[in-house]
Amino acid sequence: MTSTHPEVLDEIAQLNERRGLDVMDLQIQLERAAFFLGRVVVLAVEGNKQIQICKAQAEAGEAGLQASLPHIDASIAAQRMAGFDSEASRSGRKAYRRTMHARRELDDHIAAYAGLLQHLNTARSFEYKVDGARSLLERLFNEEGEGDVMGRLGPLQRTSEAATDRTVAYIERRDKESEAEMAAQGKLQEADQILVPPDADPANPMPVLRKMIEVLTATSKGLAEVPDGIAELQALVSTIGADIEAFNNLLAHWQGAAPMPAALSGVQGNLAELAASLAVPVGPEAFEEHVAKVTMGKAVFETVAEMTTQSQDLRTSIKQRLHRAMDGLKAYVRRGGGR
Amino acid sequence: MNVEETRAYAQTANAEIDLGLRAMSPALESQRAFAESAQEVDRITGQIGVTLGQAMGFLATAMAVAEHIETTSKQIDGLLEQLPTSEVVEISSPNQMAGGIAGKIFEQVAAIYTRTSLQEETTAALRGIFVELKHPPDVNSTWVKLHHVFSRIYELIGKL
Repeated sequence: MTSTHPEVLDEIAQLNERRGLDVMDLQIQLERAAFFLGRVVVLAVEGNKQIQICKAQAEAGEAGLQASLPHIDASIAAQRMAGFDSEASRSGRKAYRRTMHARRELDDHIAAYAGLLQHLNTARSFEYKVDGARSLLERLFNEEGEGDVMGRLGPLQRTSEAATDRTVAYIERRDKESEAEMAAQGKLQEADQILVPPDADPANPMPVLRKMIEVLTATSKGLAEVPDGIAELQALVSTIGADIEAFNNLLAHWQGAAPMPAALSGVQGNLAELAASLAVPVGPEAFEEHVAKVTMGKAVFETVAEMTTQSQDLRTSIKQRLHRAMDGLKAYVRRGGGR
Repeated sequence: MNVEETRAYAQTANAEIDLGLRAMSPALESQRAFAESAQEVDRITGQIGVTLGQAMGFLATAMAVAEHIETTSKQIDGLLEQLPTSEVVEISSPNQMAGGIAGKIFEQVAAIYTRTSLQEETTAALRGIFVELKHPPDVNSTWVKLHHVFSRIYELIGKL
């Protein structure tokens, strides 16, 4: 036994020495693990801070979107009152559709914020909170990953501005048309009074016809401002046998490019001739010829009415009034006007 | 409705959109800040996963070393039994429980690593690790140093 004791003691010593080294190694390994666990805790603290920032920013985001809602709703109501949702212009309807889309998007974003805030208040781990934040980011940013809600609302503002400009332009155009209609109505009433004057003297039709020429000239000036109307008017001038060159001179005058012709020939001259023929005594055999000339004058009036207004209703009204006027004029001739 | 009213409504509609965008402007700034913060949290979460993995790697090594200490201690105990009772051998204090403690720490950190849940669950687990290390059955100088390191962790946990 004694011979083995030194060997056993030696082996115990070796094992003890190795165990001592292992303990030192264990210490090193645990210290390293402790270092990284400490890092984890530090990261967790930083992560918590960032989550609190996320929460504060989400609350601010939700509040901002909520604040904008009444304005967007007010804009929608005003757009409806302006007729963006029904008539007005295409740009108005486009602006209205986009505003409604933005309104729905706002609702969606506000709901997303509310959902995230609830998630941040109840989730127990970073991982779940990060999932919630990621989900919100996906909802706030579009699928293409470009821009954000501002990126989509910015164009809406431009669209709305354009719609406003165009709608105002549309309204102004409508105003002008309305004014033109009122003016045409005024002329028509004037023509009614001229053609069938309540106090017309059957023995002296010249003032009536002279006034008729003035009205025709005035409405022809309006017609001359319409490019397509010029050719039409020239064709009419030829049709009623007027001097086209004289008419062109008159047209140039209306357009400010030439002085007033010394004598109103052409259309005016032709109508003056018409007036003169009605003014001189004629026999029954010349009656139909007079009526034909009056009918030509009526055709000019009708065409002028066609060219000076875009309103179908007004055109119809003018034609009806002209019919009545011409009937009145014929009756006036039959009663012995100009004889 | 007359023309002037229509024009006024169209202009009001535009002005309200402008006001809406102005009201929303701070929210958009918040949205950008939120996106940055959320990405930072995402990054931190990833980093925590990596760091936990590193801690677990060292603990796995520590556990293997601790098991080796246990084995060596058993070998020493066996040899000591061969000696007659008259023989007295001075053996430095081994950490008999080293393997058990390292194993428990490993298991807890492995559980954290698997879940990567780093709020209340994590802090509770880290506190558990600290308690294990603060009250080892065999206290010697090896653990004193570890206690110092882990008390720092404990302070940090307390701030969570």
